[in-house]
Amino acid sequence: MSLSKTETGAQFLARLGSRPSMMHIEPAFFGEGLKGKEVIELYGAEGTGKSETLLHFIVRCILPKSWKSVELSGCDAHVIFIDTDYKFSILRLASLLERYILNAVGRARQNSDETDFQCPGSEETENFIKECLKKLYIIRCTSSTQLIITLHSLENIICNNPNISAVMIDSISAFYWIDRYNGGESFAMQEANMRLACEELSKLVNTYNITVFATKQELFKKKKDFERRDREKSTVIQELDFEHQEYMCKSWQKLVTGRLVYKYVEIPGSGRRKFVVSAGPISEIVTFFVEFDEIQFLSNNEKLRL
Amino acid sequence: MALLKAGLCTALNNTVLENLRSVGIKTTLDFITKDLEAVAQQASVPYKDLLAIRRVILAQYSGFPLNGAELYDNGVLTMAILSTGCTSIDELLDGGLYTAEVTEVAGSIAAGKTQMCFTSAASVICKTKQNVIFVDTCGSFSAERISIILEENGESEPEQFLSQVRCFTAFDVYELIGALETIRHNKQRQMDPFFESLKLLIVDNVASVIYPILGGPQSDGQSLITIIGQKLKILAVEFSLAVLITNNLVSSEWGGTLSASLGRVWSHVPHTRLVILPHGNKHTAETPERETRREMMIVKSSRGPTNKCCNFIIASSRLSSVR
Repeated sequence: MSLSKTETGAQFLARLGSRPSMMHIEPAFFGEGLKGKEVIELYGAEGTGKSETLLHFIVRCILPKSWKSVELSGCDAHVIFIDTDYKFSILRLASLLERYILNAVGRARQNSDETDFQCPGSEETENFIKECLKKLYIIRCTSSTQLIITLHSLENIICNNPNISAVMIDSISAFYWIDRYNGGESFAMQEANMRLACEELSKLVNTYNITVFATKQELFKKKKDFERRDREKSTVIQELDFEHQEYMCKSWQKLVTGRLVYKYVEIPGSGRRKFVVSAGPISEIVTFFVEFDEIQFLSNNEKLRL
Repeated sequence: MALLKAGLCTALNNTVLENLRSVGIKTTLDFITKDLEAVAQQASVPYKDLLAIRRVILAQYSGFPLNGAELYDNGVLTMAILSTGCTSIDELLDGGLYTAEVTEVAGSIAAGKTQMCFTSAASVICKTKQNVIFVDTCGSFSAERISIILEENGESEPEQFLSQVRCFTAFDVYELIGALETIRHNKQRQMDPFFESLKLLIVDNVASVIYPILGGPQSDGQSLITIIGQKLKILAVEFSLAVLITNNLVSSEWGGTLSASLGRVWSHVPHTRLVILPHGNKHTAETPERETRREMMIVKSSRGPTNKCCNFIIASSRLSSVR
């Protein structure tokens, strides 16, 4: 017997109401913009810039469109950040915000002809940063069961706050090995917890029009022949291998609608790293530096040169 | 995973518990993931009660959402940067060891990993006046050497500082997990004043307890690595500790460069990774006989630029920067 689904008033309004758009979260990655109801996976080995990108996304989410006639081009949305890796640093996020705002203020001052452009004071900026940080909720999870229960509890939070547009998870693969071990011999048991988490996540995405960003660590590597191994250390972008090795359960694979694959190349001599991201086999490759605490995207013609 | 227990809330008494068990709901996870309307019919428990139980479970077992602004205020208050006792390494690390972060030092045999631990411990206990826990997995701890470093730092009575260091020995992976749990327990209970001002946790050497568990069934070893990584990070973040761990260097699969050992899963654990480069250790004509030069490189950082290098000297007992 199937029961008709009941819905509370809050759920109804949360489902139908519009949430801030994630359309312009980062044109460099998502050219035409995100439509909503998307699950974006950020995949890569350690130190390839996945968490850094998430921080950049948070900055773009929680900033408003403009502040005191300074163009910030943010989404003005609220964000839930689930930290399963225990790597999130609020102080680092605050300094990223500050850098982003100061750069925008600098640009605004250059563009304005009038001499009466008023630069916001440092105290004013700090208060503004705090105001922005209020739009962020951080939840830390220590086990996959806690992650499932937390995802269930999010429904209530999302219902009550019509401004939440994004859920970020860093990282979705944090409990992979523990689940595998606890599951014993059976594959179904090993994947049981992740499947439940995905079910709930999919409900949040589809019912409440939430965009999900999740990092996935590169825990496995394909066995490669010698020729390919040499390429691994390549410093030329064209030779990089943006292969993706799936190891998560089917339900997660079904959920993912877009994937960014992360690599980096060492720039000979300078000791710097250039981060290279591929957003799929057909689309273009995005490259960026992380410099002065901020992601700096390279333009098209700079891209393939080193 | 927690079992459902009577007394969790008023609605969850023994009869309700029995009814729920009869339809296969035993743990909190079973309860949360089931459709309550169906459960109400099958187990003949009032829907209202089920909703109340669900609310309590969600409140007790989910992660608590922290507001970014509050976390920021709290972060500003609890954040500290601890000096490693060697200026050039401090500069490389942008000030020193950060609390709420795991810093890893990887180096080959006799590269100066343990020296760096001792120098940092000495600096924290005498300059910062905070306490240090040293988890020793390979018999490397020596109170004597710490007291020599303190003496060289100009302390006339080094013994008085040594009560600020505690040493735990852990010779296998389960003992290490036990030691980390003990620290967490003591931190939470707030009974022992030593743990109140604990700021630095050192694990020297993390690789020597993990090597023996690798090579069995793959998921055993990898899950234990994940658990240790998790426990270290939770200690660092929840109690605002700086965690310093040491690791070995191995050459990668097909020769070439040396990198930190323990593989892919571990590589995601530390926030910051330093490598003591092997080619830096040679005596040159101008260095005095008892000094050894080393070069250190920062290969991973969640804060600043990587691939920077610095030089330091191992002089008789402690590390110091190149003059």
